[in-house]
Amino acid sequence: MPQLNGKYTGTASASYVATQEVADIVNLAILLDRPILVEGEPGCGKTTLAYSIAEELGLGIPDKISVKSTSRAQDLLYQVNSLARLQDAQTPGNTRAQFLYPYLTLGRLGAAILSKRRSVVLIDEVDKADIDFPNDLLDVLDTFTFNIPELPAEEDEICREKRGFGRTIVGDPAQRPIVVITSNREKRLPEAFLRRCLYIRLKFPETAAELSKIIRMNTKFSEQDLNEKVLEAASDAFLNIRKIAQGQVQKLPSTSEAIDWVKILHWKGAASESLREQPLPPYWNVLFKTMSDLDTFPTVARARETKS
Amino acid sequence: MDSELILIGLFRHLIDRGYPLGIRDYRDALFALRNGVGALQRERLLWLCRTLWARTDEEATWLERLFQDFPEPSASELAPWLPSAPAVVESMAGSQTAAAASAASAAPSLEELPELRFQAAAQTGTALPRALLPVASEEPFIYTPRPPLSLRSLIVCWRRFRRAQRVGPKVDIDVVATILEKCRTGILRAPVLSAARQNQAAVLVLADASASMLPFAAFFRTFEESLAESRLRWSKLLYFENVPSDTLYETESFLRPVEMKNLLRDHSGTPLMIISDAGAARGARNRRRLEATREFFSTVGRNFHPVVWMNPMPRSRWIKTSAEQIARFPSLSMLPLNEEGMLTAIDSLRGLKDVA
Repeated sequence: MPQLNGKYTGTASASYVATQEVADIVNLAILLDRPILVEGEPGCGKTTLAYSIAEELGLGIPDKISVKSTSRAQDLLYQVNSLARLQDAQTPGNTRAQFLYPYLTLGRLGAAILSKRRSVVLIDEVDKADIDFPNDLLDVLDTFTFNIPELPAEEDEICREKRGFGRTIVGDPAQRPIVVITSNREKRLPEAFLRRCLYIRLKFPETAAELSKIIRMNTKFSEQDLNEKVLEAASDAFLNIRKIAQGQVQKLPSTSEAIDWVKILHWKGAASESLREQPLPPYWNVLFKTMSDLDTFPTVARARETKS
Repeated sequence: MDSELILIGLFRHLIDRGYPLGIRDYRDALFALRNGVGALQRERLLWLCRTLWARTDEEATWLERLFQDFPEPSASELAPWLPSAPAVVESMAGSQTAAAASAASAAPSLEELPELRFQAAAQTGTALPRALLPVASEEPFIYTPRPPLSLRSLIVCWRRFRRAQRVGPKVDIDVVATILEKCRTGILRAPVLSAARQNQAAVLVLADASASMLPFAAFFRTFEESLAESRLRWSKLLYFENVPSDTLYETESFLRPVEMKNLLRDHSGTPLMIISDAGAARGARNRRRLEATREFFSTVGRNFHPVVWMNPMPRSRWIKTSAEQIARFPSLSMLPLNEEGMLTAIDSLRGLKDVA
């Protein structure tokens, strides 16, 4: 089992703040060599968590694998360029095509497993892929070894010599990559996969103080600093908007929308008083992403105001 | 080592309850303890167990309850499993005595239970007196929907239903033919193409949305979602009331009618799946229903083949009802709506004979 130099605290990276609970689960997952499954509403910082882990532990930039609906688990490990080999075989005098190994490339996860340096691998939005995708990955995430059956046995030695790996790739147990997997809806993931991972649910910050802290970390302006009063008023207004919009809109505004909104308020020089008085604070429409929400929210907010 | 395995009792209980845990999960917990996680306080130990062994809210609540019931490991039992530091063991012992003291004071004795008081019927406004009891607010109710099949297992079942045929434009490289062409002519101008394999499987699903099938309304929505992800060439879910007839509906509330003859014109010959209790929910033999169903199969139903009938009621409830008689129709096979039944149904739809 690996020994890491430091533990993850969630407070030492430049633009991310994690709760103690999240940090504890991350440390436990690293200790036990288990992948971390992060779930939460869109825009709450699932991807940023992986970047924060890599930054705090000094592991460079995470290897981000964006999963598509056509992704296959095998492609994450390795790919064989058969077409290039066929074309080279056509060219007379080209002897490269007699071997397979020059046409073999390791995928991001495969390279991370082989690497002698520890890294963070981020598999983003795994539920976008086909339903079999997580199961295909399960064995690799368990043992961090995989085979390349396409590589003929005769080429094993020469491939090891020239490329550094053979038919069986075994990861160094002391340098296993930290795998962070994000998902939007975990209901579609297979049971065995869920069991293997340690589960983190990222919640939206509950107090204005937490929200202010996150926004402050993510908005660094060069000309002048963010006005603290504006930030405080904006955080309060944002939490209020979220409370009103809960259950009424299709997409609830979340952390990333809050950050964008505060940036706009800063650039436009909005005053903190204007944020407190009306039901619809200035530039509120930046927070919503669909036409129907932009129609629904003002009605709901005004109705709330007349009631109170 | 001959010291008793810590937490093994709790772990065994979880497995008995059906938690899908294995030896590795237990060993991971011990490893974490050895490395200092969860050792110092009871709450941290509970956190460790919950993070490692529970995945849903329901599982977490059960685990917490079981954890409270189990006797705490004493300091000497814990010691072999902790990172070797006497201070750790002492602080654990300290927190234990504190916890034991608070536990003793928290449990009410029999004499202290509140007396039952009643509010008179005249005051409540109803015909009955109401008992005034304190509400046990720490007892949360967790509602876990338990559909006959989960969305994922439905999708997996549908994916098994494949009839791959090469149809359509030629876009796939036929490697063998290309090589043969090269051998034959000596030059390769262009690779030889063949049509891509496409799934030609299709299914028409007719679901009974009558009052006796109301408990399954939510399941129909899951079913519809699974058909969308099923990768079948064509599939359609339509609703009928009690007996399939000439008019079917696109919604459960019987709106947007679809004429059977239009379906027959375009999709005659597709496999058919009917989801209905066939009278088994109400538990009676209904002659009219039986005749109407027989009529359906002798006229329209002949155009669909094969036919499977999924009955959400278990087999034991079919006896002495119309379901039993419909099950005997030669043109269809009736199966219970569960995982096993669904797999058998898919095999039937694929054309395998004598499965049901």
